[in-house]
Amino acid sequence: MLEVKSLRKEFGNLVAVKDISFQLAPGDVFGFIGPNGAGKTTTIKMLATLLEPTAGTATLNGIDIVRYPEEVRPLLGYMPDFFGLYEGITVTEYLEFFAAAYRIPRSQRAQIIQNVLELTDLTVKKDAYVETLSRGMQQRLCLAKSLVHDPLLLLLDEPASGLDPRARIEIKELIRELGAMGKIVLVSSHILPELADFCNKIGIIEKGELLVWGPVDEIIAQLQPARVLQIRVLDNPEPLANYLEDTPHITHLALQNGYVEVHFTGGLEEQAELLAKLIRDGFRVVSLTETSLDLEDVFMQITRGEVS
Amino acid sequence: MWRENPVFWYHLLGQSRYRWRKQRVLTLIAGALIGLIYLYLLQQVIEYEVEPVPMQILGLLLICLLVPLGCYSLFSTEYEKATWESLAITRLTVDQIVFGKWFSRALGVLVVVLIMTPLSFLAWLKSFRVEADLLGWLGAQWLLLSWGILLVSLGMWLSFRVRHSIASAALLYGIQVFLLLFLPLLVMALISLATVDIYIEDPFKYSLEDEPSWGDRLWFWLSLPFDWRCVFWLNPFVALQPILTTYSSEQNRMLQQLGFGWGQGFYYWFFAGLLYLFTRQGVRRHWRK
Repeated sequence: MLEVKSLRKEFGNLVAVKDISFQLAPGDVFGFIGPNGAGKTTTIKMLATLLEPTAGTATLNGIDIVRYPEEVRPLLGYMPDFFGLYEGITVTEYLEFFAAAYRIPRSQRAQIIQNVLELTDLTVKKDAYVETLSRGMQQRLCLAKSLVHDPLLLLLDEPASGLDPRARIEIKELIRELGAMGKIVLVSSHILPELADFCNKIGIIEKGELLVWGPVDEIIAQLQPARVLQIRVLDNPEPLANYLEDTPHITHLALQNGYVEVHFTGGLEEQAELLAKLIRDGFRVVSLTETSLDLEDVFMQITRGEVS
Repeated sequence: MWRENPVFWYHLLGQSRYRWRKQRVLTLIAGALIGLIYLYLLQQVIEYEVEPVPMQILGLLLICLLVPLGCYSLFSTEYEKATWESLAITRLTVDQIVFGKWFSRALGVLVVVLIMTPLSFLAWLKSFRVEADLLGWLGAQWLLLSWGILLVSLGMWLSFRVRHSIASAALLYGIQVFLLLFLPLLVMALISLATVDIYIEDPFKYSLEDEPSWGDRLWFWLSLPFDWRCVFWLNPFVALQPILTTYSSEQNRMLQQLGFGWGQGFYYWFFAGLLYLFTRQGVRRHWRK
């Protein structure tokens, strides 16, 4: 369990992170969203025990990360947004380096390294020198190195940045798998569609402030109390718009490009009734579709485009 | 610190292998050249009576030139290649990290000193005019090793503080040139401007009535940092001369009896230790170790 309590970081007069709090349980994949300079990396670095918070704290499995960084470190894996690898050694030697650095007994290392290589799909490259790997493979190797000691919490700062589409998909699959393995995964990104695929929780940070956090569905439900329906007719949609103005359960109406978009507060029963009524009254309805907010809409609604 | 230390092994073997793979031809050419020069010198020492001082100075020059190459980037590459964060959050202790890096390079110094040892030893053995005894010769070897160790600590500290390899290398060579060449020249120039006749007469003047006692020796070495002549006497190139010179004057014999070579070495180790501790403290604070 990761509990972040009023975490704050100041650099001189600049408040980079303002008293943020959230909790994550094993299996949670938490998308940490925010514009550049919002405070994502600073927060992650504090959780990774690399930066000391100005105030507040966080506990991982009950261990205070501020007071006992050395005790927490074996429980966390960290992949920085900008990372490098030790050159001149092979993939296996690189993982052995970190296995030794995490004091994994020699007798267990070979098996652990083999498992991690399989998980990150790097087995075929186990004897390759790290500097000869492609960017995507280096990214996976960095993730593999973060996994050798089987951490509970994984902090991934922009794990898919600079990757081609295939490598992005592979990293997404891997993160989803890690969540399924019961790890707490905190992923920061500003590429929202990619987070929507595998995060069950999100937090939106702007100007150092955590504006909202929680399960994705709940946040969308909060932001979208009414369902959005798009009604397309064969003829001119203007008469339809006029007709719908006085219809119950419709709170907002807009004439879009060839269709009418309405915010509908009724349930499915009322929606079916509306469709039947429209057809009865002579509207030649081509389609009635429900659209929901995606992460991009949520992000745009919540943030104001400011940075700290 | 003595627990299994991957930082030490990586810096000792991994980086060397990387350089070998990247610069194979250059390394081979340099190795062949150095080998030829070494064999030539060995032949000279064996066949002719070569004095030990040039051999020691050659060794010192090698240390001054080669050791910085190994340590100017000990910490700076961690920052430049963004590997330090991954290293910092492992279970490695600050001592394992700092000692691992330092010791891998200190071994390099030892190797250079050991390579130069046969030349220096044979020259000392064959040159009957040299008055220094075995302890004196060992003092000269100790001086070489200690200067190398000081360079390793200085290089490691600079690379940690500066965080840029090129700047750190430039500083490391620049500091050497300043301390070993410019500063003595500057002091000599200032002395020649001064009106204190005794200094103009002989800046290395040191005299005692009898053979120095342990108290004299201790007093000499403890007071040296407060004496302007430390600019010269702590300079390894200058310090080597009276130890192994073939034209031993009363002055040189006095300096040999004071433990020249050994005393400088202890000072180098003291400064090296300080710089090591500064680095350790810096890493502990910045990496939250």
